[in-house]
Amino acid sequence: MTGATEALPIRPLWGGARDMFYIAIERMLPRPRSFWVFMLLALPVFFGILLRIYPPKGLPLTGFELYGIVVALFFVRNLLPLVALLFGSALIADAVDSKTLTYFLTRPISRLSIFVGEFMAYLVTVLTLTLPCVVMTYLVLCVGTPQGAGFGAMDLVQDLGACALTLFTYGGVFALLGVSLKRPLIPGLLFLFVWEGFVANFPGDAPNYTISAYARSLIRHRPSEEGLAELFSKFFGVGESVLVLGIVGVVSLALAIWIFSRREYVISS
Amino acid sequence: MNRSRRLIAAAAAISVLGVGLAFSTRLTGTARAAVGPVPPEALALPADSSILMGFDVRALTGSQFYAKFGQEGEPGRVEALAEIERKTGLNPERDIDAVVVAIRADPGKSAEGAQKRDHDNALVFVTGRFDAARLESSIPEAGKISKERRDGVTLYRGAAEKPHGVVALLDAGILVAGSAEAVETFLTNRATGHGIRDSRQLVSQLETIEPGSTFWAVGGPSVLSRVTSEVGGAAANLPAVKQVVAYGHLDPEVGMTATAEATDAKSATKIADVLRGFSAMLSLQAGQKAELAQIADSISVATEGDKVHVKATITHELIDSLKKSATESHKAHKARKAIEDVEVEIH
Repeated sequence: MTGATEALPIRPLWGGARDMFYIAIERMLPRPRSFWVFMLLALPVFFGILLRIYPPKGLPLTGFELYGIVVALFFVRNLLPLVALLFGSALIADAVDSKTLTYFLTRPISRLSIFVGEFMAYLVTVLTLTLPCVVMTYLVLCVGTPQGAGFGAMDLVQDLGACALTLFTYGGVFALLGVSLKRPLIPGLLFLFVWEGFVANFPGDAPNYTISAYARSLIRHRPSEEGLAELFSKFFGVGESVLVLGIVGVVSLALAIWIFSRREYVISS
Repeated sequence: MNRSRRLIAAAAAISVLGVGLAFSTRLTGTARAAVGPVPPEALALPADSSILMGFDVRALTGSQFYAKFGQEGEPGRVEALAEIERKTGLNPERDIDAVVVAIRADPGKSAEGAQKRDHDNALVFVTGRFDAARLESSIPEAGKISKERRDGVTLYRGAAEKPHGVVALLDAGILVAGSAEAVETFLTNRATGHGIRDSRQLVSQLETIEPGSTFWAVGGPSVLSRVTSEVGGAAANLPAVKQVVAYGHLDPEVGMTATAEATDAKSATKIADVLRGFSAMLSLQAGQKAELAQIADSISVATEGDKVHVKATITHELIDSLKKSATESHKAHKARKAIEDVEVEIH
């Protein structure tokens, strides 16, 4: 018997990431935070049901137009970035808070695997919460209307893709914020409501530097804007939007992985 | 992982079933179509049609809009349906389900009489519930019409108030009306399997129309030039467009979406600017007529590369208000004219 300890071989990237995914998804999905986020995402479904039961007189919108407003303004512009902030910025912060990061970092698993597993769990969690709500909103608002369900079925599929891409991109950006800052929530909120909220509606080229302008351009059946937003809102082609959102998401993730691989975590007792 | 797995499976099932339901109603509902909104039987319409347009007559006559504005002299009165009623005796509300009209461009003729030329080259395809005996009895002045039976199709010659007009009853629910030449082309296409599908451009345009639209139209380069040459003014200098796709609905408000593809991005911007200018002019006149401001607000124009997207939504209340103010101004004009006539007589 020798006193020297042999280092365990590092698990392959995908094997390690898969193990991390199983652990992280349990930490993210069946939790009160997910429940409340789901309730928030399901609000249009509840209001849609109320609207169908008690239809207001003279509502100047079809069910499909109302669905377009909900997807473009409620989901893509406001709620999904917020969901991405809540879950994306907490990817590593939660592991630090619960002190499980020490456990992960002392296992024979690379930091890249840890991050990839966590981000996969984030994506699966937010998609599990979001996609059924979007589909249910469509069905509740469009079934049995003069246009009928089926009107805009292709738009529904494209909207689901737009939501997934929005969650991926914002998730990457907030994951970067989460590994860079100790308390990422306040800067994240400022980024969402000051930068994304206002600058996306500025005249000129300012919207080119916001994620929101590209994300909302993916909703092709978006309602027409009113007032100043109508004058200044800038919309991009679908191909351009997908490309920009994809690049921003991938670059943010790469930076986040780079920072996470080099950062020293001191877990306080 | 069990709880998470169950949640993920439930979410996936809801999403897949929901999307499946949306597509199944798209395929099996009223929106079913062989190519966009064109029913399979109408695919024999000529592939060289420069304008193809249609109405879902069931949806139109069953709409609140038609109930409010569909009577004689009202804005919702569709002249094409009134004409079908005059020429064939068919009652749109009772007998007709859908109408598709194909207009062929005739480059050999000059710009003058474009209206007349359109009527001559129009081929009307109607689906509904009518049979030969009923149609024969309902066509006005039946004595002038010669009846012919060929390959299972009944042809009524001289039925369209023109010596060369033909109404062809294909079966108990489909009739085609137009000039003899156009109807013959349709019947030949039907026998040989040719028609709209031969034009890739028409098919791609038709497939962009939202299923369930109450009215729709697609057209090639001649569409806008026809409109602009008649409108004149700034519109006459609009750059040429390659194609136009428009569709819309009537309830709960009148909504229309149109996409014009220009030759390049610069032309698209120019067209959008003219449309925005038109909208701004309406806003400027809001002092005299408040409704004009509402119309201007309801129009949104956007460009995307070489495409111009126009969306307009007009409420039934606004149409009602416009109709009232038009009636009032018409009455005022008539009263002024009567006073002027009296003054002339006095002098």
